[in-house]
Amino acid sequence: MVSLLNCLVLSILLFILGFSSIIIHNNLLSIFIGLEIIINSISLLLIVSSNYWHHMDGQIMYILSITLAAIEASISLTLVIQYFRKTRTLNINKFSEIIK
Amino acid sequence: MYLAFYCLSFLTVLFTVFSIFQKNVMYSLLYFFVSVLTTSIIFFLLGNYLIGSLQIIIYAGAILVLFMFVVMLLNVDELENQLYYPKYSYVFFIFCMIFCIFGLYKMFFCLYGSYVFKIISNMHVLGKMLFEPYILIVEFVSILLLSIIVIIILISNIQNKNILDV
Repeated sequence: MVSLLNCLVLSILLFILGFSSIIIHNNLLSIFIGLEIIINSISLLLIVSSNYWHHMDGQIMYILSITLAAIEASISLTLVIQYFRKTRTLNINKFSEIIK
Repeated sequence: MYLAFYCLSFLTVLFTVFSIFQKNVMYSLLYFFVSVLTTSIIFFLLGNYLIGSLQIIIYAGAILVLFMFVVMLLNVDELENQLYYPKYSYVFFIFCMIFCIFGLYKMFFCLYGSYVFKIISNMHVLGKMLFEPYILIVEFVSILLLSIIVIIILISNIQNKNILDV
């Protein structure tokens, strides 16, 4: 028997780690890895809550969330490849068009 | 069972921290790979065998391998692109501490003594639920995937320089 509190603390810790990875890094690929960490933590939360309430709905939401993760990764990586062809950089501060 | 859960959760947090503080993007992806695998073992431990295997097949086998292919294609330079430039600010850490304290303060009193039980959910019931009450969502997700394919083909075929000029 696993306590529900431990599962939720693990999920929140993973969420905070992903959020800090987004804020700390200056590079686009690392920011996408942080987004993946956040999606992983939220899928863990869905599965744990579905197990706690004896429902199947959380597992179906997990399948939807993993589909959304695949969609997000494919679109963002295509955009990264297109931008890298133009600018030859992955730094976010050079991406912004205001500085130029 | 709970001892195995504690070990696996500790390994998950450890490998996620390793993946964040890493100079090379490829090593960071590999550490995140191990973290996803330990999360899938937690799913196996809780009794969701289908979900754990989906986590291994789709997440670790498709999405992260896509990331690895892009990292191999890009051939990024570490110094020029500032791959590792951590901006440690004390304000952010104070914000994180406040978030932890206020987020976990209520949970420690609300959730004391509630346990997650091990339910072995077989694939038959999940598939039946997926295609009887939730058939509309599955249709919408399939339409979404089709539209994403069209969008990716459009983005990758852009030749006009005015659209993506930075």
